[in-house]
Amino acid sequence: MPVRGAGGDNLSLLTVNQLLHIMLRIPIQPRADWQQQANALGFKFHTMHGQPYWDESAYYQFTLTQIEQDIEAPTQELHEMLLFLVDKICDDDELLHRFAIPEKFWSTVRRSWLRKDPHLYGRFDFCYDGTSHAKLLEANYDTPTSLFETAYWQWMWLEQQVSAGSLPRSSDQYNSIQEQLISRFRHIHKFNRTHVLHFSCCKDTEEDKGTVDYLRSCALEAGIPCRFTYIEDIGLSTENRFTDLADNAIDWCFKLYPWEFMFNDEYADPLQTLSTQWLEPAWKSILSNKAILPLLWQYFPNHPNLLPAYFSDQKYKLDTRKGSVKKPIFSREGANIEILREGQVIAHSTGTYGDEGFIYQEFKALPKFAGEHIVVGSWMIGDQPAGIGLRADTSLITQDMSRFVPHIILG
Amino acid sequence: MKRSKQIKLTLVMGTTAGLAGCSDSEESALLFEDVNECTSFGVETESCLYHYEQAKDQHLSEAPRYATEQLCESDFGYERCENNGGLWRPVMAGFMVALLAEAVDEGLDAMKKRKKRKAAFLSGKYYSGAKPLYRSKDDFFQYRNAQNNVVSSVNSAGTTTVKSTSINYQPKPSKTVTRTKSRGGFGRSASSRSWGG
Repeated sequence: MPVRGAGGDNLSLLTVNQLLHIMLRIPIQPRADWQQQANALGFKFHTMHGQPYWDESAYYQFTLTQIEQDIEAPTQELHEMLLFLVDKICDDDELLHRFAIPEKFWSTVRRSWLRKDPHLYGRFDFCYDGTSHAKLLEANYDTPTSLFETAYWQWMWLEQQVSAGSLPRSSDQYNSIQEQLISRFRHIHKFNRTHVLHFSCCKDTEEDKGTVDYLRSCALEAGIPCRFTYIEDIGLSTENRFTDLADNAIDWCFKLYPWEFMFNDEYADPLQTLSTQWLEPAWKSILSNKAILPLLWQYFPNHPNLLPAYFSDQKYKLDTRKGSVKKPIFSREGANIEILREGQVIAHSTGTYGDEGFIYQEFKALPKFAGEHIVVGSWMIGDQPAGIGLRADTSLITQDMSRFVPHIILG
Repeated sequence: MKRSKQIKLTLVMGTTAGLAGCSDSEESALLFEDVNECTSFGVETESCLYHYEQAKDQHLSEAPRYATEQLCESDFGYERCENNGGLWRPVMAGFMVALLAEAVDEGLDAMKKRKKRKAAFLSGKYYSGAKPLYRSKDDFFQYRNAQNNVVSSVNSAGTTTVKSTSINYQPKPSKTVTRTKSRGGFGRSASSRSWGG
């Protein structure tokens, strides 16, 4: 059972931590100047909608064994399972239907997979309490966010708290994301030597712009020439190429914009024929899709890191006493989710998704520490597991209002 | 260790990429339409040819490129474009050589005294490389550089002063110019929804 850490006496906590294999929540004094530091870096979304988003009033402590056995290893394995499934799904018209991928894009998706278009990153969300197997809640493999705060900001927090003497010198963090991002960019650059990499996100969102700027910073570090264009500003030239506002052709583009949206936008037709290289590549549309959850359960039943999940035609197979979660196939940021237990809706969220159908997953309550529910976001950079970021929410459904909390490894 | 050893941010977030401001000081330069104009100004033929060739080389790598002749002519005028390797470029309308101030004085002195040392102008230590010049359709009496910045009037052949940024720019590989026929075909799906993850 998770135990709420009292703070202060680190030595006895460490022993409890190691003996019971639990994760600990330990209150800590926030750095006095973190807000100024954040503003100076341009990390403007540390407070969103008047609520704190970055919360360093406490941290979570894991042991190295917990990180390596319970999170890192399953992350690698699940990633390989996902790639195995992409291959199956690409070969199967019926499954592509189930994934709500428009028929005219099937060849785009297939070609991108068969060409082995390189990909950059992805994030698994786990339900993990430190004692039992981490359970996969969902995979965000097309447009995962919270990257900057995980890879950079959380790392700086640890570095500064150790320097200030507030954390032991031996504290570590499961977080080599930035290093791996840069080396991944270097690797992908080899396939696009002559091209400028355009970065793109939607207008009017500080969080997305922040994420994209952070990625651009990593790409620059890797020696890639970069440009930025808003998604809404992308144009189409008379020679049928996508262009930026200065009429430069876009040959290679990172987009923080879901594939399923691109499939439905006005430029869907040119998108099929143009040779622009996208990050993430089109085959990722299969993995950002909640329909992957029932497929995982079908191909790897009773896998220790999976929860039972079904399409609506087989939802009767779920144990109603354990409760179930209804998720739209394209849901993002926890929209339109319903948690049912013994026929009662115990939690739900609003949104505009669901026209594309739903999947049903067994309900697994998120571990609760001092009144906050924790979700562990575990990152893949390329084909390597790279680190975690924790989100805390008072509600059972983690949405974009939830707080980001730091972690350390000790023992 | 399970974390990055050392990390830094190359870019401050939330800023648009921009170049560090360059100072816009004045600099002396020689502008010529062709080798003839250069020699008639009093520079040795050999020196003129050398710089002309150098500018021509730069022209091939820096000139704006167009996918079709029509697109190119819409910027540079009828029969003012040439084809090279399948792409269209404006013809080089002139070339310029940057000079150090003392070189100009020395050269002008020499000219005034009608001595045969005029070539001092363009001896190795004085110039900083030759650059191609262009004349566009809508602004025909100005020389522009490959970056589409106005350099000077075409009538100021010979010694003139130009902005240092218009001659000391970093040569960059030119892009193929296209015309954007529509914009805004992406993003509509996002406007009505919250998303991310």
